[in-house]
Amino acid sequence: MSRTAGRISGGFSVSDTVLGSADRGGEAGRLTLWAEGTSPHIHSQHSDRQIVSAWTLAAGLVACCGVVLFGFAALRVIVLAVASASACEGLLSLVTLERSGIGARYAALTGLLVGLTLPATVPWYVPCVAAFAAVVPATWMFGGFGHCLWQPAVVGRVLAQFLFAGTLSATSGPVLSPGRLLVGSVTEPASIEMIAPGQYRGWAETTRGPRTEAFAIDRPIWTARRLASGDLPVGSTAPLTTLTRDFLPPWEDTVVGSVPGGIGETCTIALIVVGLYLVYRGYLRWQIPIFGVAAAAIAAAILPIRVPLGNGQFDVRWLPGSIVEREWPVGALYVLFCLTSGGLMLGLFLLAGDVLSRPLTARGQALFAAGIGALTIAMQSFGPVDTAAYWAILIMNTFVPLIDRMTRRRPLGSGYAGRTTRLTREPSRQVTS
Amino acid sequence: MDRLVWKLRQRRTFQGGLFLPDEKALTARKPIEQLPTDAPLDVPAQLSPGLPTRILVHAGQIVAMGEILAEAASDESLSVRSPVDGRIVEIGRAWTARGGFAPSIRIEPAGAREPRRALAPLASGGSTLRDVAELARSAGVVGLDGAPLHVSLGTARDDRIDTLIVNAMETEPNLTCDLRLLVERSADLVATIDWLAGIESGEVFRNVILAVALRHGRIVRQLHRRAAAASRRIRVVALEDKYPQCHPSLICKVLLGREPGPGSDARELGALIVPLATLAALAEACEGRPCVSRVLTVSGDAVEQPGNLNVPFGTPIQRLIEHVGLRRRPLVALAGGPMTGIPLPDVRAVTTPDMAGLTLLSRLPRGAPIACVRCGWCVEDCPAGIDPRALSQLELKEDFSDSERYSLAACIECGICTYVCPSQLPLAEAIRQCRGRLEESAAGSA
Ligand code: SF4
Ligand code: SF4
Repeated sequence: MSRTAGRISGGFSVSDTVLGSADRGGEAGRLTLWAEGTSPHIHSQHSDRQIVSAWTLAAGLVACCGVVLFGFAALRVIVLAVASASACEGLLSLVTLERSGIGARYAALTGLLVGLTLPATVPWYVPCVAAFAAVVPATWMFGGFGHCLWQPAVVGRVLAQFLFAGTLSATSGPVLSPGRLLVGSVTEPASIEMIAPGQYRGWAETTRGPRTEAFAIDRPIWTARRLASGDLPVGSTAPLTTLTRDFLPPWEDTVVGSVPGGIGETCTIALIVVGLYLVYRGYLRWQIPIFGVAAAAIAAAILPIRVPLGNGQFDVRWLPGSIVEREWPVGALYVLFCLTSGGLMLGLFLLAGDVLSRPLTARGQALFAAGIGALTIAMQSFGPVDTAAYWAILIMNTFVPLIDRMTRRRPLGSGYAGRTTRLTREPSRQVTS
Repeated sequence: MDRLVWKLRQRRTFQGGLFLPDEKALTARKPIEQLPTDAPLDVPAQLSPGLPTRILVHAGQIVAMGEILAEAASDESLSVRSPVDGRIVEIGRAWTARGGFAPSIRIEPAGAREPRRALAPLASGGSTLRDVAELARSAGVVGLDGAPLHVSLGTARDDRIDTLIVNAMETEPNLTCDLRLLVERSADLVATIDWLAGIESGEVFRNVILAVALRHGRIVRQLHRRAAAASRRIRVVALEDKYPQCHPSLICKVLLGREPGPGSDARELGALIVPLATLAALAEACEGRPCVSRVLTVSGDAVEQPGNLNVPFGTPIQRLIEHVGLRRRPLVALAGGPMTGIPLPDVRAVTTPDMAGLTLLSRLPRGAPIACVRCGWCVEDCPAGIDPRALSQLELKEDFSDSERYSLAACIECGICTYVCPSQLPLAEAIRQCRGRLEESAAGSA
């Protein structure tokens, strides 16, 4: 049709003489030569702008929760990240003379996502450098918006981890105390009260005792890591009960988010809510979070923990998820901690589902997310890196082209198509004729 | 309770496709209206492109309704009859959606007279396949894609056809002409199907299926009742009205569990697919009326009074537009619905037998394309199971690999990929272009 488009417009001036006078007046008479184009002539009205806006809204909501939990310092990190990402994008578009509205929006979203992965206590240059790394090497060197293999925000975060390993790998971190949400300060060292392991009875309990702005505890992810490597003195009689009682905050804290970690990493509830919103809008397939969480839960339930026996020996226990101690299924609790204490939830709900770097089909995305979940747990416990979820995303991003090839659909008419039918029909036709 | 179970029952469907917001409510309750024949017609001298004819009339001649204007020049071709009583003004050319400029016969109608019986009515009892084919030929009935029906009927034996599928799915947005036919003429239509099922005492079509859209529950139940009262076994199958279920390949896939290979049609699976409009024309032919008009839906957001009109072939769309009135200035006029319709360049384009609707749209929602964001929607929703994203990037490539050729041939040109793409990429158009190049190179090497 489009090949004849030239003929349509070219031919009609000739037609006036061929068809005779067509001047019949009326509203319709004035309409000659309509706009051309090819089918379809309607559109779903979903645009990239809407996708990026919905994603920004979701990330913004998580950021709000982070600001409530970590105070002004968190806002500062996020603003710095967004501003430097936007500034990098602006400078690049000046240099290359390529301006695109969607590119600027996506850069701002990238900055926001980078901010969510960082803890609130980092110095000012960390979010700036991480956002720069996300926009310049991770987006522009691949050719700008729409061409990237690895999720840009995750690349920025992982590069920052290399550059600032000292500040980003701290084993403990601060949370605002219950009375000082939003307005408290996590950065003033004087106001941080260190609580020794085994003394912490949960975030809500800290209202008792002297009034403090914030307090610092061990990051749960660090504790899980120590357990897997066997240097956590949990005792061999009921190791998981000891673990959850003495070394970890209560499980509600990891779900609500009042534990140390990245600004957007800790509040699991908020992440689930925005995930549901994105699924509702149709921009995130449920396969990514569901398969990711399921695979991570299975991995956490299977992969072993090491219970130290004192004299440098370990008791390696497989299937920790099935452990029942004193008629209490602490194994399940341990699995929940593994899921909610790191960057896994943020990774699955907001980072892995990013349109640019996920596989194309639902089946591919299920596979991709399952890979992320399982790899995260494995690396979280046994890997050499601190940011297991982000590394898992980058690794699975690398396999996206392969996953796309594996999950190709069968074209209509192939397989049991007509040719075979015809072959089976041929002999009988000869018999009749 | 029964109804609930019936509604919730798992139905055969296909992977991909979409439930489109289809605007059918505009015309779904508008009864079929006869377009008054008071303005000149430009009757194309060929019912569809590729059916050669010889024009028999000359300017100034008086013709009666049903009189042959152009006679078939080959066995496969169809004669063109006059839709009205009138006088030939001139032999000129008119724009048709699928054939571009084609020779046409301009007729000035001269008042309405009783339609005369141009054909001897055919007894339904002793009919043979050849009789039916002969009837279809003399009445000028076209079938799928404007191909003459008598040819497919004539070769039904050789093609080992044993299944007749009447396609009343109509999942294309905006179109309701088949729906109105089902509402208003269901008795006639089922009787005609019954008659076709009984050809040569049921030896030809052993398996007769009427495919209708699930959501028209009342009509489906009515058709079930009528089919149960018919003398032959007619299966009324309600299919999900997911676009593009109306496409013949997908009808086969869902009803027969097999699909024709890319570039071939349902006949290789032993099925003859007949559009509902063709069946309606055949029903008219049984009563002795030649096929000189069809029901089409005039709809779209630019139309003041959208409706279903029975329109003689060769009516300039200007006449249709005058009849329905305009609410806004149309930006595009389509022969067919908005998903697959063919754009018409001018108000002087004329209606043809395979034009199921006229859609006038006042806006074109697609903006400037930007880079693909890899959302995967085109891949998930493509009913042909191919990767439109990858194929559209072949545009600049000179030759294609085997799998690319195969995928290009599998595309059914439904337009869903362009419809869903959030980056506004013209994917379907790019695929069509690649296909054009592929066909050209195939023709060149042959
Ligand atoms: S136009 Fe072709 S490629 Fe696009 S969705 Fe339809 S069948 Fe698939
Ligand atoms: S629908 Fe458009 S943006 Fe999405 S994958 Fe297909 S081509 Fe890319």
